[in-house]
Amino acid sequence: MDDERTVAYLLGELPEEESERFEDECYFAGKDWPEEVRAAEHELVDAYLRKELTPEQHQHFEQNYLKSDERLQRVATAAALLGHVKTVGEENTSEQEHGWPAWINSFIALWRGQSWAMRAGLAVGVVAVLVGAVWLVRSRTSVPQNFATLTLTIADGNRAEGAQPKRIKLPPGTDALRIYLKLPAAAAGAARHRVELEKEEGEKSPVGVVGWDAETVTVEIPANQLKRGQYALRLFSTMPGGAEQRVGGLYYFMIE
Amino acid sequence: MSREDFARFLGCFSPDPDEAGERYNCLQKKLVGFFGLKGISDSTGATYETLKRATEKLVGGADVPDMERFCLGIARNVAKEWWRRERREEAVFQRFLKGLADNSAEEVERLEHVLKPCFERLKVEEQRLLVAYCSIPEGMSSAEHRRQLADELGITVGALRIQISRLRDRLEECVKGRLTDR
Repeated sequence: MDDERTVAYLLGELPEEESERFEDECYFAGKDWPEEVRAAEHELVDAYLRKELTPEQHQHFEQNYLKSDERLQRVATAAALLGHVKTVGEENTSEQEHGWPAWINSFIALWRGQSWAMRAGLAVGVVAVLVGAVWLVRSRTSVPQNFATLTLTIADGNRAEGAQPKRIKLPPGTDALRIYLKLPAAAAGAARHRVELEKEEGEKSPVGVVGWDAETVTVEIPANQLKRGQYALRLFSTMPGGAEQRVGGLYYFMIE
Repeated sequence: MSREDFARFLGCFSPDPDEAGERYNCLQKKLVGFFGLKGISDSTGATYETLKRATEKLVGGADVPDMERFCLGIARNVAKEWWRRERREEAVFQRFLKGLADNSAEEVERLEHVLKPCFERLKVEEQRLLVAYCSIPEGMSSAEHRRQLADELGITVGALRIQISRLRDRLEECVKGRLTDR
């Protein structure tokens, strides 16, 4: 499966039979889903934002590719990434640029597109992304810069049974505590994780999960939410295709 | 699906429970990949629906010589139904259009604020790699730029693309998480 064919598939340019053959090839390619397909998709999105597609491809992208919220969000995230990378590049080179670059204008053009159906889909996707973004920006006036970090392993017992919490003292000026939770085997490979913080007095609150991989879930807790005392974290994991399940055991820590 | 039904489903992969479990996990990943390729937003949910239907058919007595092909056939139907439903609902979304403002540049900038901490969570060398990959010098094509960068790093263009794709997937997941979990 070459890039040209992948792009043609994603743009809906292949006849149905050929599309199914392409899907078959990906599906039966080996043990895992071929990563080259995803890489080609990322590059297609970039090419769209940078206006590198032919007029015909551009039209097919908007009509056929941008047809789900997932993909709209993917394009919006790619636009944000290119924007951020540009900012980082500018900071590095101290160059001044004026006006919006072509890929942001291209994204703006989506809002003003001629296709009614495409605009409808775009509207829903962008509204969903923006509602989340606005809510996030409002709910957090600043992004934590200074972290204290802690790595925790799950403990089977409870506090009463003597499970020993890890201790940490937050240095002055710490914005947040970043905790790396080592995943037990039962939760490795989960599609999603959720974490709850339990205080000594039993009060529970959700904790922001900021990333995970096969071995670790990373959470961040604002320092102003942590006073001296013992805490426990509960992990809930959702396996692909399954329902959310509480992972047995707790992660204990103590703020000194 | 009941425990018995699921056990029967697993048994169709292999009589050896370990091998059956491994093949089941592979199938799940492939189905998620398939639905992602089809542009379906809830690829995990669609995968679950596919496996549920496959189990029901098996319990109902279907003869299945090739489990992967059998599930792909069901997945295609699930995808078609999903798209039919989307098209029907599209009309409902039209009312959103009138309220749209032409200030999306500001909104992309806001999304950048969500992405920034995710980006900063990458290792420094990963950040540098992404910046280098996405910053195409004026007058150079993307393909030429990729080739040059791969040469500088001493890896193949294919390896570079996969590396970048994985980084971007991690970023996307992080952004999604920040938008939905909070």
